[in-house]
Amino acid sequence: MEVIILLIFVSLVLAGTGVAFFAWNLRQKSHEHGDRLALLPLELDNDES
Amino acid sequence: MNMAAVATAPEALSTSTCLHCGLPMTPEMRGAFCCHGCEAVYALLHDGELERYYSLRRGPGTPITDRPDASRDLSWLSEAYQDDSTDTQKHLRLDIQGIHCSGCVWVLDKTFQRHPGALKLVTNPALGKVELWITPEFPLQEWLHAVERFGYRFGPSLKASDLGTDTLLLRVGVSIAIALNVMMLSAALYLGLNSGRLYDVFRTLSYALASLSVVIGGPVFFRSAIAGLRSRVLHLDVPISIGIALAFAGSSWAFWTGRDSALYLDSVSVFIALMLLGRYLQERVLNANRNRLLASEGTEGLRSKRLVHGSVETIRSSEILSGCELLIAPGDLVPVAAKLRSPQALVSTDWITGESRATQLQEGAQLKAGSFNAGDQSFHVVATANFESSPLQALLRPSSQTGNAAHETGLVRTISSYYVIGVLLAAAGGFAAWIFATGSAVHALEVATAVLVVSCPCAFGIATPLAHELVQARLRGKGLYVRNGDFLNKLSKVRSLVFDKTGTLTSGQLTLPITDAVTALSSEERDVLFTLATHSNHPVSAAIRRGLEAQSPSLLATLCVTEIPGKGMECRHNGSHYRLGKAQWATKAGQGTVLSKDGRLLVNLDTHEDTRSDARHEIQALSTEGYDIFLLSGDAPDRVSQMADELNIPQSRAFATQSPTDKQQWLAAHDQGDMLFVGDGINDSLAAQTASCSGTPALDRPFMASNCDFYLGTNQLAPIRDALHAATVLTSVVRRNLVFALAYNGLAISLAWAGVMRPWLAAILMPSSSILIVLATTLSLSPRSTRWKS
Repeated sequence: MEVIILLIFVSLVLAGTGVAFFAWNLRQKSHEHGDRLALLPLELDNDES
Repeated sequence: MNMAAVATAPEALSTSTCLHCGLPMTPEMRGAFCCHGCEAVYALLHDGELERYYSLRRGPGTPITDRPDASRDLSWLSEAYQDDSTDTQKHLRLDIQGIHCSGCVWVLDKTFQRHPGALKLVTNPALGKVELWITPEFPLQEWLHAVERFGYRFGPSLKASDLGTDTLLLRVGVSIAIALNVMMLSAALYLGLNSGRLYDVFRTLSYALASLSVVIGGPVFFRSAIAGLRSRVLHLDVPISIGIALAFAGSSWAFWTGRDSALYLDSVSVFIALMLLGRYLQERVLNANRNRLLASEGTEGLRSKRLVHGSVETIRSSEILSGCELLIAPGDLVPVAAKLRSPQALVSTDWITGESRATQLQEGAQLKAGSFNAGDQSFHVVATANFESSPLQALLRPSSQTGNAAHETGLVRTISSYYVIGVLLAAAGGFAAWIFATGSAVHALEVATAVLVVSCPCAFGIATPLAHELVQARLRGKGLYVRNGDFLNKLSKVRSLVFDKTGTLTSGQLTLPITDAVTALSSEERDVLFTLATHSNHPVSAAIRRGLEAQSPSLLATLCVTEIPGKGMECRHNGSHYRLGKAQWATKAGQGTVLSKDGRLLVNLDTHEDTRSDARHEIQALSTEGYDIFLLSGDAPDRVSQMADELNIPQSRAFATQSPTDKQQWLAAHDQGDMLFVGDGINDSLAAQTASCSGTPALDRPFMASNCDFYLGTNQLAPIRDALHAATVLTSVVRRNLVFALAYNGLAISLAWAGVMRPWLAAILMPSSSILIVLATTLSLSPRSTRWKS
């Protein structure tokens, strides 16, 4: 029983962390220039070649 | 054109599509490109080793509607520097038009990094903005001009720095997370967990999370509903708000009184999450379409060159007073009525009157506000009025009609009003019937709560926005961008289309038909003609030059060409005297433009306005489909009549010499909510604001697009007919969804009235109906659907 309560607590903390990370990501506005961010790995390819 | 580049064309594109933009080619288009702009940009990308653009781009691109202009005025640039700029590092924020995919972002990044002093570039396609950090050695103007040659356009940073949907997205994300968790917790309750400490924890947690969902998601609808009720408008947010408020109130009552048979916490959470998702879809799509273009500054965006004590200063046109001396460079606008101070000037008024031919004016002539310098020489004018009294003020005034969301008017609004009343009556009826039958207020309240929870406005809360998004995505692929959410609703009622002529049905350019007489010229005569035409910037000369280019003429660089103002060009070559210009001057007889040799007529060079490649076909198809076509133009009667004949428009429906207010009054008198107006010039802005629906092919004039319901990103008119068809399909899908919603709500309310509705049944029924209606909408409007073909 206590284990389940503990699991619920942990899952709520995880869910809260997820929401917080989601909110932080929105504040960074990276979702609005995802096209540019998607190109960053290509830049690394070019640098290595 | 780099022919090697053509040979490496992207294989994925078939021969029936433009090699650059990938849009379908019509039979009238010759070669591998849909327009000169695409051809030029294709060559530029290959010459600049930027071919990777094509592999990074997803799907078709945007055609380059105008041949890129490398000399556009960037006088606004000084205002783009941000406050944190220092002597060693500059920070600028600019708006950009035409950017739409990873390929675009890559081209910008690549060209930026090639210059010294490039520190960082952040491109935001969703907002249509770029932010750059550079050192003073970075050649900013050179880079901006280079990028504009690819078909993009920069402007001052006027658009909002976010889509305004970030908060909404956060609410959507959190609401979905809550809904999933409440569903999991509720599943345990439905599967038999009905006592003990764990039961209490799950139950309390579900209630806490559902309450949080109402607090996070509810205000989006509550605020809008209250605003709607204050202005006595029953729009979609009213039933959604009532649904959330009453379902949560009923569930709260069930929670605190321990009546689990009326505890619908998961249904409430799922409902909020779905409605928020629908709202986000709706707002994001419209904002993204609006941000593809530069924002309109109205008259604040106009700048002029004022002469003060021999030096030139750039000022906002709104600062011009009567008596100001202005310098009008080639391509510049005359912002106020003015008197010409220079010996002569070649001006075009097509932008303001629709008159397609440029006019040669002599010193002392009056220039209309809105005239353009169409020549290759600057001239001086003296303003004869203050800018405050300029007619441009009214014509450039931003419209107040933009920004409506799809749910605010039309069929959906009507149904929404009835829906609110219907659900409230059903709940009250259920309550009254049960209290009358059983005498138990508790049972009656359970039934009323069940009615309020299971009745779901999903058909217009999520399926309608989704249908609009799918149709708009389809139209975007064809080059038509919707700016106003209500446009497709209004378009379904359109029965008449009213077109402007110059720049709308025509491409705005003159063309020279290559007649037998032209091909019969000797190579020497053709080279002389080409050289003479190359020495003049007159629109007719430019048309001759473009027309001859296909015959690969040679430019005689040593030829001494003299321009006779108002008459034409002349030169001597191998002992002969050639003249290109007015027939009366070149041969002492005839009319029009001719080439003469020693006073003898060599060839008539009659140019005509180039109609859009598919204009004739589209006008014919629209007429066949039963639409009435009208032509309203500011151009001269003979040219309007000729255009009407060419496009098979009855002469009784072609109106010439229409001023901006004439057009506005004509539409006000004839538009019964069933007219679509398509125009491009400043003279069309009043008409665009008056018509029920309006659109423009003018991407380079933000004020026009900002006054219209849609804009065209292609040289063709075909997307207009596609939109008319799409609006019909959309209406039928929305109607079918409403019928489905009626059937579902009828069944669910019947079950609630019968007293058999339980939370677990609601948890299955409501999401299932939503998923079903979303799937049906998606399938009906997918590209493969037979609805598009019917």
